[in-house]
Amino acid sequence: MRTAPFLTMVATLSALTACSNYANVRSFAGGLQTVTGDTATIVAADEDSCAQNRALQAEYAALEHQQLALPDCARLKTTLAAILIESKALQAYGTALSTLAQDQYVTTDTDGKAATGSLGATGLVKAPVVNAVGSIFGFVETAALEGYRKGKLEDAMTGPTADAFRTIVASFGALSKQYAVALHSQADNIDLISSVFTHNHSATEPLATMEVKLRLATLQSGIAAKTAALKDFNDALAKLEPAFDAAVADIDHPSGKEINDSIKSFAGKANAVHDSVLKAFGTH
Amino acid sequence: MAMIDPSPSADQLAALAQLFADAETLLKTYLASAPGQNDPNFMALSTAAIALNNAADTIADMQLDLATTADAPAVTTINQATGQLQNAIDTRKEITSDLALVQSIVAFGAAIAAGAPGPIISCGEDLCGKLTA
Repeated sequence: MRTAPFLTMVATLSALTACSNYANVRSFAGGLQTVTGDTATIVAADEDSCAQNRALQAEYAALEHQQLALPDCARLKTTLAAILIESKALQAYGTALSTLAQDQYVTTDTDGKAATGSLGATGLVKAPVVNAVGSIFGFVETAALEGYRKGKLEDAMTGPTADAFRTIVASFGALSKQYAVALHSQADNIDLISSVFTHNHSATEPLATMEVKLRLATLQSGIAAKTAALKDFNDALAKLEPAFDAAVADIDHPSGKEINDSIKSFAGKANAVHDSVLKAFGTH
Repeated sequence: MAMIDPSPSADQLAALAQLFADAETLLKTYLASAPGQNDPNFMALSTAAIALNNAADTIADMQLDLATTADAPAVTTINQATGQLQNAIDTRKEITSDLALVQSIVAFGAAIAAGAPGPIISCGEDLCGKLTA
């Protein structure tokens, strides 16, 4: 039978394709899920930092009889709520990619339209980002409704969905920059307040001054740990796009075992970030 | 230099915030020095430094939209005043012990943080006047 070898080859290729599980895509998606999962922790800490900074400044203004406009933590809360919605979109995307890469059905429990509507209502995020979040949630919902499997992975990682992903990642990066400024401000404010207390009270109230300085030093130590963790988070975000590009390449050339260097680097950083975020910001 | 567009990107706002943070760092360094500790305006300068931090903090996560024609002078003022401030910081011009100048920087930062074109222009012009005096 002349056709037998050909049929055998087709069967073997089919089996190999069926076995291909897009290891790079799965590793990338896992890293993305880890990084976005940590965002909620960082956002909560950012809110706490603002409240702490505000309370400290209020104490300073009252004790030293100074006029000072205190930080507006309510405004920050709105910004952080917007970041959380972007994070949810990225997390849903990461989960969908991971599911598709394992040739399973995508599921979703997020109301994408409501989330996108909430994001637009904040007035803090520009239209292209709101549209990008809508596109990502839209893709995930379509994937769930229409029973997408791994054959649709290319659609998920190219074209408008990929563009939407990149838009959100760029906006999402603002989180670490904003929070880095906030932590720097808080650390400097503590130094300034500590210096004022020393300047004004160390001669007359040495014990009270020492007590305040100890309290401020403890706060400083916490801020230093958060700053270090945030730097890790920022480093992981910087590796996100190169890892995404490498994961896209895996669709054309799936590898069950070999993980691309940039994905390995991103996934490794994501895990390290998770550890340092847990240490610096407490438990989830 | 922290140049911004009428509808500045997050990166541009971060650079703008950094300028006020840099001014604060300069002031904080001065306050920690012997002349700073003995400065008669030590308290007022310390409070101004905290206010500069607050302005930087707000600008870093705000959305600023000055895209209408009427807002164009505010954008020009921001770019002109921040350019001069950056130059003053770079050359370590005496911005630290001059309380009036420091308070002018604080007012300008607060005006940008509030996003209102009128105060941005008046505070920016005031700052430019002091920086070139």
